[in-house]
Amino acid sequence: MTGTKRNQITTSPVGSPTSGNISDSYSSKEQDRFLPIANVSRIMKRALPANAKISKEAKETVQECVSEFISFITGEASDKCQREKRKTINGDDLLWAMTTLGFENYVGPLKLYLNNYRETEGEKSSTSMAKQEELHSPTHQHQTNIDGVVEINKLLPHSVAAATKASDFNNTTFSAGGFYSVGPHQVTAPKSFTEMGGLNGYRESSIAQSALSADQIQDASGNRMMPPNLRYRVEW
Amino acid sequence: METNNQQQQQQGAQAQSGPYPVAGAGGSAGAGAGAPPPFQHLLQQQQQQLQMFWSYQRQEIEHVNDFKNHQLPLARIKKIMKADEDVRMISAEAPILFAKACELFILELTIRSWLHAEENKRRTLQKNDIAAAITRTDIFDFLVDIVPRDEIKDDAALVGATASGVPYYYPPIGQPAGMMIGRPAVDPATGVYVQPPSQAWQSVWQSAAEDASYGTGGAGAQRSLDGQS
Repeated sequence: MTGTKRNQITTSPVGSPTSGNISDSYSSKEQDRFLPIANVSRIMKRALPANAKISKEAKETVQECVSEFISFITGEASDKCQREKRKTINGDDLLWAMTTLGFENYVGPLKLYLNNYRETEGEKSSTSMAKQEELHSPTHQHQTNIDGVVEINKLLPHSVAAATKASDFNNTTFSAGGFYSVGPHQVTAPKSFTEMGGLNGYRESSIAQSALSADQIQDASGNRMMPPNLRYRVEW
Repeated sequence: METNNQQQQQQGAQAQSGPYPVAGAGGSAGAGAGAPPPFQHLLQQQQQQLQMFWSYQRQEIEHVNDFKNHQLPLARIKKIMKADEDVRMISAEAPILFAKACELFILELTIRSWLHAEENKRRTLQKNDIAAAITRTDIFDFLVDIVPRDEIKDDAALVGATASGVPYYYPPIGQPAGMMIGRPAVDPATGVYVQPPSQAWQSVWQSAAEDASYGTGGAGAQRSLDGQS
């Protein structure tokens, strides 16, 4: 008890100057800018010996540091997406940003983590729209194997998404070959209108993409060459 | 409390008697070299601990199968990401990846901060410890604005005191004062100083069961502190 009191007395000079710098209570909006202090504190304790203690000011400071870390990495990843004219920040963009900003040590463990996540969630069925998008990716790869080039052209929005995710999933030669096979047909003048429509669809919201997808299916229904595939897609 | 104090005093005495002959040599070496030896020693210690930390993280992540239980709330992470007006759309995997990245960030920042607390012989992590870690680590430069200059000044004062060899504050107990005066001499003894912290980290990180974790952690921490005191 005596030791504890003396410790408190010893630390008070350090605490008093900083008390003015930190507000005792956060407003609800301010709290939204930080991760919960309980979660942050729990993680901090894992890095310390069992009998170590953490002052409240230290916890709050780390709270602020984590939010700054998220904004720092996100800003760099967002700049990269804008340069490449993409609107969606994905995991690889974040890993690239961390490498660029000096957090190379983080990228190794996080790559393992991301790969585990994609393998695990890709196999599971889920009602989440985002996860359904991930499910579509292997489906489109499957379609590529069966239907070939013409089908990819007609479903350009999905093929673009599939291509993006395929590059994330696999670096195999086969995927690269698949991409090359699309190239010559994209150059064909008569199909340029379709391709432009596809690009526009890709850049719009997911709802618009769904509508375009339905339209394309209806357009394709007139094509006699692939009735079975159409039925399969309608079920989806 | 009394039992702990007695144990610490006894083990402190043992520590004194054990390396006493080395203490003299260490003292002369310290007097001759001045600041560099302790600093280099601490750098080596820090690098070793961080290497162990990263190695452990790789091993742990390889066995992760559950992505639904996160240490940090995904919605809050997404909200922080969205605070930037330029950010438009975020894939589902981005907040999940960030949850893990922030965990690594908090762990690294806390470990580096704790090293500073240990240098000042404290067991409570304080704001100026975090300020010191930010100042000393290049990749944390983007955090400099978060820590007020007062904290950095305090840190400078502490560093100056440590360099001069005089403690920044008067220790509560007389005998520990003697120990603290003798501590710089013990630093050069690498074998004596380095092992306890390593054991502490291993016990904290690698223990699986709750009971085993508590007991092992406590034992490791006690050994660590006794070794250092």
